[in-house]
Formats: sequence, structure tokens, C-alpha cells
Amino acid sequence: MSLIEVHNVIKNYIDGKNTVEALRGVDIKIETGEFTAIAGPSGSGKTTLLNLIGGLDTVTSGTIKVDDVELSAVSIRRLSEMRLHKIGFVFQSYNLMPVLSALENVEFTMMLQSVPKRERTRRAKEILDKVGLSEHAHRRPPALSGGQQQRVAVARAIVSGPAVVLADEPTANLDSGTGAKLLDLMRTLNKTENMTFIFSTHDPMVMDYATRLIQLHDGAVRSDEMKNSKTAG
Amino acid sequence: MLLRMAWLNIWRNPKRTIILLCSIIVGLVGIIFLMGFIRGWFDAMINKTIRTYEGHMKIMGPGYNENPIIENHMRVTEKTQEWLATDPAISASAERVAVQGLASSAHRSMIVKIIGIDPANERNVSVIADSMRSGKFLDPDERNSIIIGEPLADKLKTGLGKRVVLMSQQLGGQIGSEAFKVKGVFNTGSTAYDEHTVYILKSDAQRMLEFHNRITEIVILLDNIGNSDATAARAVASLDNENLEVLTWKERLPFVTKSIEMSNKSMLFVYAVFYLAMAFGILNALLMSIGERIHEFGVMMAIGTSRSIIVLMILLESVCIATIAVVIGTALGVSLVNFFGKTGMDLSAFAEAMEYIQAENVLYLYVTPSDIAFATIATFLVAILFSFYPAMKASRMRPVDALRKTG
Repeated sequence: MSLIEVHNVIKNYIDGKNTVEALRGVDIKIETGEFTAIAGPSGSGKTTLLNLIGGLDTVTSGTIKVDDVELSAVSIRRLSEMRLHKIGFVFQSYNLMPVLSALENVEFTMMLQSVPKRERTRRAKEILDKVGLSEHAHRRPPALSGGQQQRVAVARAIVSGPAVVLADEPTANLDSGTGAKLLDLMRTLNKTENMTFIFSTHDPMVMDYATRLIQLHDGAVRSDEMKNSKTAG
Repeated sequence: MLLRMAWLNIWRNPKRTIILLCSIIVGLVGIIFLMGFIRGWFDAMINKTIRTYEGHMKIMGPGYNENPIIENHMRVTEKTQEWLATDPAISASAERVAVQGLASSAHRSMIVKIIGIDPANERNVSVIADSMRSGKFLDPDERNSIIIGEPLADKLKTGLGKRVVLMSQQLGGQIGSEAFKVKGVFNTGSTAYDEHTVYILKSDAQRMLEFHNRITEIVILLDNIGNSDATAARAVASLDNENLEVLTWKERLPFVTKSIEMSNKSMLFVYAVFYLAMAFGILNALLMSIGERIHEFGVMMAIGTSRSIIVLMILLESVCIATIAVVIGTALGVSLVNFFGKTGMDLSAFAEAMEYIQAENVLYLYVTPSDIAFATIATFLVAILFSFYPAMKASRMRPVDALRKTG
């Protein structure tokens, strides 16, 4: 059993009178511990595929299983619980809660999981230390650089030990040096914690870091190859 | 953490929050002021009637209340006097002989209410002695003197030192008549009352009506209007076999209690308008605030925040705003009411209208704890109820749709 099984997934959007085919029969299996990049030009269906795997959107047809749970068969509440406990998200534009400090942003997910205050603060500090932001724990997002905000977002995504972290173009708003540091961080977490990462990207640098590269084109898988990562971590 | 988030969220757009707070505070101050005004007005209306003639309660001969004729008189027994002297709630009482009669001057005759009083006792239960416009109040040593209302004096074309003849049915059925010298002219502020009332000495009334020691009523003033019912109950118990009727001001003045009841009901509509305006302010501000944060709610849902948590957070934002508004609004509203409670609100400019509603010109505003509780609880309820729609709207969005909205 694979961690993620995407079977013959079709996703259509209705745009006025037109039907836009975002995904056209995608079949993918992703195993635990993979560091996978889903690449392709704009409009190829990368973000759509990540949204479907994350249970943010529903398939038109086909099935997606995450940790052996078929997403289209569960309730909205159960989907929300799955996102809380099994899936971590990192967004292109960081998307931290602007009113909360870095520490509180990381604590937020654990608060939703009803982790006691003392325990969640301890774990949030530990994770922020791991991503190199312990000195900025009490700063709010506007007081942090883009790279620092994205590190907080990564910390938020991994703090509760999800089965998979879905990152939608995580380096798109970062300069190449900051982007490389972020990828180093995620690759290290991938190797040390055996945490599964799936990226959508059209950044060649991200593709270089990936151990598996899935190329999408016009909503279909054009290529799927295992490869060596740029860094050994 | 949710409460902290809610608190911080409301200050993300301080200008909008302050404007919203101001609108709720102004509404709440308005409601509390209105409550104080209404209470002050009712009290002024009740006090005016009580202090002009009615007192807080009356003891009467059997049937006199329904049919105020001379035959339905009463006698003051020792038991009655003892009760009047010993009941702790009674601050003053006065005996009266009140009958319908005819007052005639050299020019004209008018049907009037002739009230025979003991001047010293009457001073303690009514404002007549303090309402003299000209001349002097009755003196127990000056037989056959009369004081009359100012509008009545005008209609009779009479005045100080002139002669007025009173005529009324005696106890035996004959007509009693005596001439009186106008000693004073009073004005209580109630034209309807002053136009049809004359006061003479009780002893003169008893002689003219061949009434001997009989009277028609005892008017009683209490230390507190709230003691009316309890004191009346004690009177009934104490004067059990005296064959008397005991009536509180509420029973004597059903139009006052009815108009208070009606006003209270119609004020609920006014309060509802205030609260509705407040509610739409809250609704508007929250919808704007939520509209700006749709992307953020999408992120929250993406990381596993349930619908109920999103609803709870928005409700908490509303509760935070309501709490600030209630604290400030109540403090300001109660202070304003207390200010006018101490200094009085002078409505002399509207004297005619005040006379029409039978109220004194100066209102002393006050609110009760239950008024404050009503105003504050209703504000919280409005804030919470009218937050539900925006909260549900935010929580019902699909995460993917919310995420597509630019933050």
C-alpha cells in the first residue's frame, strides 16, 4: 500500500459555458519518504493535483487515497481532521496568521489538535529551533523576511508530524539563495524524519533537489522519473 | 489562543473597529438614557398626581370610590387613628371632606369639587400649600375662607378678597350653602384640576353639609411609593371590621398604570429599532472584515481548522467588540442618567406638553439594575445573533475557493 494513490483522476472546472479539463486521467503512487516535485508550466494542473491530494477540492472522477483513506468517501469534517493530523501545507505566499507570532503560528495547529498549552509551546520552540528561527519566535509575520516566513510555514506544516507535506511552489516568492536554504531544510527533514514532501514547481532548482520528478502537461502525466537529489543533505 | 486571535483580529482595522464601537456605544447610551428618561417621566407623572391630590393610598367610606356621594361617608374611629399613627410606612395623613358642588361668583357659576381640609395636615400630604399663585393658604382660624384654582378664578371672574358662594347637597338631602371669601388662588400646573377645585376648611365643609364629625376620605403619604401594596394590605388587616375601603394609587389611578404599561410596550418597539440599527452596523462591519480575510480562512481550513472553530472565532470577535462597547456604553449611559438624576432635567420649555401628560416640569432620571441588565444582555445577544450569518458564511466556503481569493 502506497502512502498516496492517485488513480485515473479527472478534474474539470466549469467556466461559464465551457468545461476546462484541469486533470485528464492522472495515475500516481507516492511512497513514504519521497521528496517529489510535480513540475510543469502554468495551467498544467500542478496546483489542482496538490489541492486534490490535500482534500481541499474534490475530483470529478477517479479516486485519491491518502494513508489508505479514500478522500471522496469521507465527510467534510473527516477531511478537515485528515488535513489536521496527516497533511501539512506550505503555500507559495507563506500564508501565516498575521496577528500571531511565529511561535503562535506554529502552535496553532497543535491547539486545533487539543495539545496542552505547555506541551505545544515546548514543541513549537523545538521546531522553530530546528528551522533556525528560535530567535524570531515572538515576531509577527510582517516583521519577518520572506524566507523566514516560509520557514515558519514549514515549521507549522511539520510540527504535528504529518504523513505528507504538500508544498505549492514554496520558493516562488523567494530569491534563489533563500530558496536553496529552504530546500536544504526540507530535504534534511525529509531525510532525518523520513517525512514525505510533494512540491508543485516550475523552478529548476526545486526539480534539482527532488528525488522524483513528475512532469505534468495539459493535465496529464508526461514523465515520471526517480533521480538523484542535488544535495546529499 | 482563539480569544487572543479574535482580540487581535478586531484591531487589524482599528478605524473600522472604532467606528463600529462608537455606533454601538452611542446606541447603548441612547437606550439607557431613554430608559432613564421614561422612568423619570413616569415618576414625575405619578408624583404629580400623588402629590396634587391622590396620595399613595386612601381610606374611604364603603362605596365612595365607585360613587363619591356624601352618603358614602366614613367616621374616623380610634382604631383607625391608632393604625395611622403606628404603621411604620406612613409618613403623613390628612382627613378630607370632598363633595361635588356649585361655586358662584357675582358673574358666573361653575360645578366644582369642594374639598374640606385641615390646613396643617394637608401641607404634609399635598403640594396645594406650595402652589399658591396669589394670596395665602387656608388658616384654621379664619372661618369661611376659600382658595380656588387660577383658571377657575378667571372663569368666575373673581379674585382675592371677593365673595364666592358654595352650594352642595347636605347629608339629609337638603341643599347647604355658605358664602366664602377668596383668601388665595393656587396653580398646581394642571389646568384640568385647577379649573374645577376649591379648598375650604374641613370644619366649614362639615358645618355646611351638616356632616358633623364625618369625612369622606383619609389621604395617606408613605415613606416610599414601593410600600403602597404592603401598607394597603396591613391597613385591610388592621381595619378589618371598620367597614372601610383601602385603595392604593394604582387602584385609584388605573389610567396612569395603564398608560405606563402601554408606554413600556411601545418603548420595546423603540428599543428594537435602536438594536436593529446596532445589529446592521455589526453585520456590515463583520461582513467587510470577513470579506477581506477569505483567503486567510481558506488557509485555516487547509491546515485543518474545522468549521465550528471558524464560527467560534468570528463570534468571539463579535463578543470582544460587544464587551468593549457594553463597558463603555453602560458607563457613559449610566453616568448621563445619574447626572440628570441629580441635577434634574428641566423641561420647562415644554411646560404645556408636560401639563398635558400630567408630569412635573423637572424630570429626575434613573435606571434600575434590571434596566442595565436588559440593555447589556440585549447588546450581547444582538452582537452574537447578527454575527452568526457572517460566521456561517465564512465557515461554509470550500477551502479551495477561499484560497483562490487574494488576501
